[in-house]
Amino acid sequence: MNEKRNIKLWVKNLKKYYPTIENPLKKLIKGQEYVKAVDDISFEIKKGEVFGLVGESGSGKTTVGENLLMLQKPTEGQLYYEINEEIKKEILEAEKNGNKEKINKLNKKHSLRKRKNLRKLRKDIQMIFQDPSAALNPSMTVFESILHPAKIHKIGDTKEERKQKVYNMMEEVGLTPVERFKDKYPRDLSGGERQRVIIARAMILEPTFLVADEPVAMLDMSIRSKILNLLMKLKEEFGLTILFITHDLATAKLICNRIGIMYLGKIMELGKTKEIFENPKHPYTKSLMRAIPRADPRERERDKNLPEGEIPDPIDMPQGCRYHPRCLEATSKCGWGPRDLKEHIENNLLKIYDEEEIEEMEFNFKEDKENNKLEIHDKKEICNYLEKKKKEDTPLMNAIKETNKNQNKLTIKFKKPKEPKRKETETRAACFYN
Amino acid sequence: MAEGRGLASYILTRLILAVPTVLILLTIVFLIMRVAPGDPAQAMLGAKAPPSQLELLREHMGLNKPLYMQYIDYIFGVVQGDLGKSFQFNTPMWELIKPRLMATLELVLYGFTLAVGLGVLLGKESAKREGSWGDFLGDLYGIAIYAFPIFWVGIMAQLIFGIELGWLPTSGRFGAMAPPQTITGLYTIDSLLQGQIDKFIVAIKHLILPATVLGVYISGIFTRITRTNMLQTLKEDYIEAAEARGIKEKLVVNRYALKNALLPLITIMGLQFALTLAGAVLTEVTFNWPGMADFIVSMAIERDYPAVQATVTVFAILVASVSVLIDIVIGVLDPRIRF
Amino acid sequence: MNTEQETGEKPNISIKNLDITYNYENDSEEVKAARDINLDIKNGEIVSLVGESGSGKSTIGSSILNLLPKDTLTRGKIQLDGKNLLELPENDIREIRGKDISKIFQDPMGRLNPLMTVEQHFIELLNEHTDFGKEKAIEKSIDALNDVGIPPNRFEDYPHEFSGGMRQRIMIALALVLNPRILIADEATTSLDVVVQSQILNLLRDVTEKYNTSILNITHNLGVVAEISDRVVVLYGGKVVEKGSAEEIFHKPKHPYTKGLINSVIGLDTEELEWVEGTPPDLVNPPSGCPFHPRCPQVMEKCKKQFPEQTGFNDSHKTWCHLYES
Repeated sequence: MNEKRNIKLWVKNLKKYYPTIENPLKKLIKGQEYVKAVDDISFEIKKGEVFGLVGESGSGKTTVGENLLMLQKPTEGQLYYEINEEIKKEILEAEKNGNKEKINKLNKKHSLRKRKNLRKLRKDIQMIFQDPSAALNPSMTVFESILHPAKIHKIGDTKEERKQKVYNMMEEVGLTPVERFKDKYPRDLSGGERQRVIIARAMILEPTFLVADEPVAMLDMSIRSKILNLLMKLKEEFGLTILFITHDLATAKLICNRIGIMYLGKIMELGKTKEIFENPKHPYTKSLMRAIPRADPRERERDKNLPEGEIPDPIDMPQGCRYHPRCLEATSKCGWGPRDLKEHIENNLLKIYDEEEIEEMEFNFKEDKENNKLEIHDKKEICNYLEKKKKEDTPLMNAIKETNKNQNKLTIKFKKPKEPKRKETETRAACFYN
Repeated sequence: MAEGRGLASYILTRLILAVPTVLILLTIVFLIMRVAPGDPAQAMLGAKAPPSQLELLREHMGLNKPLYMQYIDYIFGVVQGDLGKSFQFNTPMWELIKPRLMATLELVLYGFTLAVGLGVLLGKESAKREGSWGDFLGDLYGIAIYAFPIFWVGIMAQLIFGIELGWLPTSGRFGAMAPPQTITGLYTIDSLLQGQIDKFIVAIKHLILPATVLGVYISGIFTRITRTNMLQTLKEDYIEAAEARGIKEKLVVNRYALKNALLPLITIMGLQFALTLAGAVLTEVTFNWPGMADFIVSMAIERDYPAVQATVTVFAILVASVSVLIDIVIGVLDPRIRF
Repeated sequence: MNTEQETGEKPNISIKNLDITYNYENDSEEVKAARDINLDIKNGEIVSLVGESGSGKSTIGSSILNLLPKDTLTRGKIQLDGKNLLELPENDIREIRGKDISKIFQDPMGRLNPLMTVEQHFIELLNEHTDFGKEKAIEKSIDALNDVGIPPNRFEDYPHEFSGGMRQRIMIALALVLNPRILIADEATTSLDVVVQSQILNLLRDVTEKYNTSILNITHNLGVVAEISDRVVVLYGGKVVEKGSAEEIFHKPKHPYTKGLINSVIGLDTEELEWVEGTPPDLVNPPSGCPFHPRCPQVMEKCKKQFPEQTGFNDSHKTWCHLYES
């Protein structure tokens, strides 16, 4: 192992787009649409650290993990394994100068996307999954499950040596007494014990890099900590680097050195765990922290100040900052557009109409994404409502560039949206106000 | 509002997409018929036919034109409803095929309806009683029916109900009486449309045995598929949720489980329809039914190439139309696949 | 909401000496899922049943609506209005489901019939339990949806057009539209993201107050328990081991299991990992005596032999542990 290679993994401009499954004719007319599960993210994991990727469902965190191991092929971007600052600088420079030849050469040497590199590292990078029951072969005993990868990768020279290694590893992960556990099948084990088998199965290959995707999410509360503790113990003992993927900010806080917070395929904030928790910058991070339920009824009445709504459908990504529709600190700059106005009207239908008019409470609209405008066909209640509302000082209303009323059509045009970028060196958060 | 638009655009695209499908099918039919080795004219006239006659026949059939011209002629013919002329009878093919096609369709229609009805009923009841003796019998039925050769079942039915008991006619479509005037070509429908109950009864009597044999035969697969899908659907979370809301069991089974389980069944029905046509051919031979089977065999023996080609073309278009129809039905039933 | 409903004090539901055994026709595989459960739920109260896998919490929830699998033996009483729900004929219990007692579930994605619109779900439910005309049914439904934050123009949409959180809101509206006495929430926020989870918890608290409905909240998540409950019942291995007010359970836990469970929660202020040693109990052969004894750090000889008597600290706070027996 090269001691100077202190960057374990550099994820550079990683993108993973899934084509939506659509009717072929629609595809012909509209072109193929994509779900941007991971949309241009970059981060590095330093050697020996635990890096947490935190996000809600649909944030793309799991997709990142799968892309690292090439379980899925990235759409774009590179993954450089075991490099240092110099190599990183070289790559950036070559990219700046457009030196394709050099980039190819460097990729060949360092990128996980090159099959040859990946094959060499198959043992070195291991993964632990969320659902321990699904990840085990039901017809293999504990002993066989752990032995199997060792056999494939030819760990140990003799049969006896391999057997001893399996026993040692079982002891290491706490499947003791070995005699009691070795001939059991997955169905005879508890969730925690199964997860231990999976950890042993990964660790027997003596990896240096572990991708742990929600390793305790399916386990009972009373034993989660014990599995986490085991992971931390193994990390120390074997000098592991860990990518810890989780939805649980509190767990990440406890075990990660640095964390990246993902939302809809982007990293919204990244930094040292301590700094992020002491002084969160991104409004999304702040909201997440407030939302975590506290196991203390005395804190029930705390100011939670929750964001509205849910993660939007990634096929129809909000423009500008993708968090703006839910953001509590958003201003008119953040990328408001026709869909936001549409939603606003929908949510206020009961206010706009009188209760008796429930039956006809609909409105005809046309959303024009390209020109960033919304056309509403004459509904005088809605027009009146907007006339009044427009004067209010809300980010959505302030983002309106112009309104046009002609005959039976009200057209509302918005300012052109921009997306905030997270510059690694300057700011931690991808937000206009940091 | 958006609802109707989604359905309409779905149906429209399905119909538009049917065009290339049919075109591809027709091309395959053309290729098999024309590009296959051997000279159709030679085959029709025999090996010893004089060259001048051969030439004449080729010209008559358009075989002397370049291949792409023949292809264009064929496609344009089909589009205009012209399937060519029979070599033997020198009449337009459609006139020859239509009554026979209608005879086959009448058989298939009744057989298929019976198969679906029987299959869904048995499958549903089986699934409701999972693990019981009734379920076991339903399951056994599904397998056993498949194990008997269809013509053997047909002959047995003829022996028992036709000859031994003398209840039903064993062959033909209408016996000696003059059939009803043609409106649709389906005797049962035509006789009813004209108010001729006596003729309707004759038509039905002739239909019962062949349609039942065909229907029972194919119902096996529907029983099994309905049962499997029902069992799966009955375990869905929304079934439990409906029960927890106090919805009556009958409603839960019919409105929730059956309707949801029918969706995959309908897809299978589209595929099964083509197989039913094949099954109908065997049934027709057994019951001496004047349908497509009899026709295609005699045309093949007479080496009437245009007739064989026309028959295959009709079958191809039929199967393609059924699959479009099935897609549309599913689109109507399942809101998730609209756009 | 419901003006026909009497305004007086509603009687509580009360569970008495409830035993539930799965696979009771097969001796070797009998699962003793719940043993001797006693529980009262008062009017408008939110009671949480908390426990881990194998604690029996979901089983108890299902038994109230008689939704257990066929091969299940239930003994004891679940009383509502002087009727024992366990002994009611199928038709009578069906009338109670969705009307007097309703239930929401863990995974809202698959809980609505994909072939029916939201409107059809409501109309079906209201037809089943009331004789409202269509107009009144629609009005009631729109009101209920409005209470949970679903805009009225989505009334005719299909389930797949909604997100997970919105589907759970629809399920809540369906559960509350008939103004039930009790709402059983079985891990109702477990599969939701934290922000949405928090939104739904707030909603449940507000809405049940408005509808004057009690909640039986079943969950393994102690954070959720602390956010919402008035009272908490801790289950282990099919037995109640401690119950008390939320304040008592979280700030003065008595039973070693309750203590261990609370300590193993990982929160933002957790500094060290703590856990309960051992594995969940096998319910086919439950441990003798106190089911927690194989994992208990303070186990004594008599814990292995007999289940402890109740120790009461005050009217609400009780535990079943030999440590406190005098």
